[in-house]
Amino acid sequence: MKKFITILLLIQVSLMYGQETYKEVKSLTKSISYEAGEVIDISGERTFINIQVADQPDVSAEVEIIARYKEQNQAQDDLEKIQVVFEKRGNTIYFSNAIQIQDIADKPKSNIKTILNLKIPKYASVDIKNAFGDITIKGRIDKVNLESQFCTIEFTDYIGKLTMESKYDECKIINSKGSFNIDSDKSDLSLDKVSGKVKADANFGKLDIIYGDNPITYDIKSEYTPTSIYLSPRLDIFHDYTCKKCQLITEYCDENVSREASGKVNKLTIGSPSNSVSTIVAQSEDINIISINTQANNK
Amino acid sequence: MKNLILTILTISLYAGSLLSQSSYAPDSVKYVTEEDLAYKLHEDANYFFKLAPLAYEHKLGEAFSLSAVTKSSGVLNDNFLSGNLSLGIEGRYYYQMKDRVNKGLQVSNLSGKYIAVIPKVGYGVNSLANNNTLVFGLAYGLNLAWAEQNRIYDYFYWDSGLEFGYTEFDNNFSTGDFTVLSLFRKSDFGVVFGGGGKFIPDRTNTQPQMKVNVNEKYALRVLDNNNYSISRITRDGLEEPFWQFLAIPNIISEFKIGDSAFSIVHDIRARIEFSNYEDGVKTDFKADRVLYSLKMGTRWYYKMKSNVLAGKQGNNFSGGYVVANFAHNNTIEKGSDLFFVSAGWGYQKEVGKKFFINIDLTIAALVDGVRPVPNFNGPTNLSGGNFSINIGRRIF
Repeated sequence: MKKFITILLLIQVSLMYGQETYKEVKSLTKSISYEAGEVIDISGERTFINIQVADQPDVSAEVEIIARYKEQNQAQDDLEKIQVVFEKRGNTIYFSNAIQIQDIADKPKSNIKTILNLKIPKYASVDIKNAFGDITIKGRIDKVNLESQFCTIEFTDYIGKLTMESKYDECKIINSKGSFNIDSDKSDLSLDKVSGKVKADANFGKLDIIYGDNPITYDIKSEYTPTSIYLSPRLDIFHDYTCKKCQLITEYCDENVSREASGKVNKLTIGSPSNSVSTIVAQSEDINIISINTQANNK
Repeated sequence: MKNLILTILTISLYAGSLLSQSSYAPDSVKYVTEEDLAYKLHEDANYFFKLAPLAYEHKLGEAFSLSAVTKSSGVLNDNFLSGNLSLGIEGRYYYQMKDRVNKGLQVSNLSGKYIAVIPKVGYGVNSLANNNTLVFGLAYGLNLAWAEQNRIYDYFYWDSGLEFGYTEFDNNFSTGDFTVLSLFRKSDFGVVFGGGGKFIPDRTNTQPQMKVNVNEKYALRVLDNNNYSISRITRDGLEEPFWQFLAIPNIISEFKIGDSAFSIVHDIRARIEFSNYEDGVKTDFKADRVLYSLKMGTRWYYKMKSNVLAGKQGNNFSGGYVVANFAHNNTIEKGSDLFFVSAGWGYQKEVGKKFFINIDLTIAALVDGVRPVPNFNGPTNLSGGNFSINIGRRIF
């Protein structure tokens, strides 16, 4: 019996070590002075980006590149193929982590990812490109231009001007304020208690809008994008929703709500025209309008 | 007891194997090059609508396609011009498709090596040199091709190989029919609009990928601009067929100066035309035109540094550049020997080793030699400009 147990244990140990991957890490910590009007240009490849606004005059970066592979030497070699750039040239502070090789045969084999923690001064301007990673931004940034694919994106307490081109992302904008121009394709988009102006073109994804209590102007066009709208009873704005080849589903039924249908076009308005207007024109997928109170009660 | 021990061991064995797996799968990142991104080998394409030359290609089954094509062909030398624009039906067999699909190298689309048969019928136009009369007439024929079609990014394609064509022009010359049998280098580059299945990847289940930038030090290229042909031409009134041979070999080398954005370019080009025909009469073989040019220049790729810093490209030979050249042109049979300096702007894009495109816009000044056009109007030292679009491939 003892023999049997020993053999099983040996098999288990060999299985554990047989599957082992080696983790190699390369780090960089650096600060660069920032002058007003300069742009921070981040070009990430499989990069997990965390940007925080700090009360400091510099842009400081903590970079960690991780390579994992079953052979340690290969993982070490592959780390060297990542060319980490964090430097200023003209009016631009560049960060990039591109793979630079001399020959196609030298393609990396490891699983490589980069973690970038960036602290930037208030009112900076940031351009970001990233794919297959994360982007987390918190605080007041004058201007953010974002182009991403297959990323998880989260803006929390963000104040500023955001221009975003999003593809295959999962994007949440929470408690944020400013001007937002969003072009999303096959992305899931959640706008939670956003105020200011939002212009969005959303296709083939999913859209959730949760109204807060601050004034907001929405101008949204969507196609093949199921939309859920959570209305705040404390927010007094004019809602103007149109659905082409789809339905407007709501439990709202009071004197403020007006419905109209013409052929395959359904319209619904809530409230009376005022300065803040929320316009959504959807095509081919329904708009579901839910009261936050109703939802809370249901819970 | 025994059962209990076995159960515990089984659970721990399972847990151990789970723990041993990292949250990363070791090979879960796919590394792609510019070539992988450009050729779209893993994108479906059921049809191609091509511009220049105009054609519509539709996929049939896994490895066949049928196209409606416009074909233009012609013979041009100092003595006469014949041109033919015709409509054809092209049947293609992509002979490596099944094998490559099975090996996972591409999906079944319209990219790859093929053989083709192209019957055609159309209208031809002919003119003798120094004869202002154009003669139109019916033209028909058959072409056979062996070539490779590649998609270049979303909206371009390159189709290059060899084509063998027979065209018969009916009653085009006053003397009657004439035929052209030719073997030529086929090299079509143009705009394409393609369509396929609406494949939408599952976001949560898509393999992450990273782009790999390749740095380059040296490149040797050959141009492929429909620049080789052998034609056999028969005409009523001529007892024997005559031949025309055209070759425009062009080799370009480029190397980096250190790791900078500067490079040195050498360009050697010749144009050789032979035929055994002149003024409607068969003659001995003679050179209609033989010329060569040697060009040496320096290019500065003005966005290279910032693009490398931004991770957009490797330090390679792609991008916009400004150039300064010193060139020597020689037309052997006319005995002219010309030396130029030129400068201008250009753009070059290399996609792996298989394809490159170069656009060059320069102005040149003659520094030594006799101008080929004596009545040239313009500033005395300005010898004209040059705008060229060249495509080709890397030797290494």
